[in-house]
Amino acid sequence: MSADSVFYKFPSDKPSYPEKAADFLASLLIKGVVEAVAVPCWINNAAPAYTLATDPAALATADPFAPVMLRNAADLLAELTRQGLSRKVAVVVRSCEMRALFELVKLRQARLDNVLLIGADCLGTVPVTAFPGDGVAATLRAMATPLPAGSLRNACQLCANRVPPAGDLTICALGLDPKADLIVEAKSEQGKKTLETLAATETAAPAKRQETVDQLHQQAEALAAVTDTNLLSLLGRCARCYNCRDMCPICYCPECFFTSQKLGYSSDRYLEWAKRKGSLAFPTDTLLFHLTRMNHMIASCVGCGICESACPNDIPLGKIYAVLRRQVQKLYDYEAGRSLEEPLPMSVFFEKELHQVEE
Amino acid sequence: MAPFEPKIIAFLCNWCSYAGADLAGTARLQYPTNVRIVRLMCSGALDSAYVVRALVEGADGVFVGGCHPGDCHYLNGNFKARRRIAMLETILAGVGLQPERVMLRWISASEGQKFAQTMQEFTDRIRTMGKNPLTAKATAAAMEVSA
Repeated sequence: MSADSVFYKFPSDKPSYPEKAADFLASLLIKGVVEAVAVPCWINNAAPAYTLATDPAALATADPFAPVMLRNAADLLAELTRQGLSRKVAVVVRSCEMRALFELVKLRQARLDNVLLIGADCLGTVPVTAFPGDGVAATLRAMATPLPAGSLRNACQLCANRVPPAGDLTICALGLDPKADLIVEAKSEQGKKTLETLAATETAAPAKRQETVDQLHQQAEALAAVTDTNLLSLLGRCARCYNCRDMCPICYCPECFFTSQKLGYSSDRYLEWAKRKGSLAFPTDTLLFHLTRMNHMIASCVGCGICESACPNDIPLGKIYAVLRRQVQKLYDYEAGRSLEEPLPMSVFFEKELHQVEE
Repeated sequence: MAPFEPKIIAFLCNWCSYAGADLAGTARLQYPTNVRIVRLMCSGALDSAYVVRALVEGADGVFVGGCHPGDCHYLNGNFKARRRIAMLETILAGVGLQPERVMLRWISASEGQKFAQTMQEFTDRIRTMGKNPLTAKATAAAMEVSA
């Protein structure tokens, strides 16, 4: 939160905080600020579905703070905005989704034209398989009593980015009284104008938010410093389903190195290898896959941990990526998704840098 | 049992380091036969995947040779290579592999002597480090990498 953050109170007669947020989003449609709103909604209570709504009534179950996520919405948004939107759409995302979206914009897979970008504070998420399946009641509980760190997905425990980095607006939630008025932070001129159109009034910064966020971030950094990232011992149960790659918001290559002819071997080659090595375990190249995927995308990894959530065999990839991305991005003084302007690490270079690598 | 002789794969860029290696050859400079050279047009064309693959398939060391910064035949390929190798070494260290098995050095076309010395230096280093643990039977049993 910068010195010139402006916070607004949005008046709503809805009884709960998530409902007030949903009301706010519905007003965007009612007041004609946007033609559609993309936001997680409790279509059923098992898990929220990322929904594109044009009817305000459809937003009744919208919940930007749901403590569970099926996937990182950034790749869905890339799908939606790839050719650029011709109509104004409000897009509601949590921090890791916004950061992944920024990376995808820089990778030319998504566009922000005509997007009203709304971030939401993240209360953390639990694994889908551990989610009680009671919809917005879970969000209300998480707002009343912060989710214990141990119950969160590994990536969330290691997340030091609970607040979205930029955008037009941020719907606040961390450290807030769940009975309080909806607090929305204006992050841009467009955001400010939108809040004024909706008759929101300026208000003081929410008292405990910064403190709550700082504490969560400190805990995450402390955990990252002691997390074991030894990958070798974990790959024994990798089945090479490629779920981690397929669900990763950053992995966008229509033809992945691993399913290309570069690794297309003939039966004779397999037999020769088996003969030379004594035996050949299938599928081959598991360690190669993981290390290469890491080399190919970790510069833009936002640590959302969906790779781990997607793994059918519970390999804690999210934990490893969340820690290693910090180490790699630090090499280039970069943080994935921190800014739209900051160039991708592999697209720039300096004449004098990284001398520790040159031998 | 024969003493351990490392297997080194060297990815050399056509215009500088490969030419340097060639000069070592024409000047009859002796360097270890442990080195197997793969020629690329530019060090910047080397996808880290190939360095990883060499290590995973049993290479004990991987050397990457490029033009000196500022001298790349394609202007900036070596700068990209430097960024990629920095990333690769950080990842290797992070996941429990040995980044010292990868070496990046700039060797120009006129530096035949430097090439020979570098190969000697790197081979000696890898010989001291020992065989690549990824091909040890114990590690193989833990993962799918076969011995």
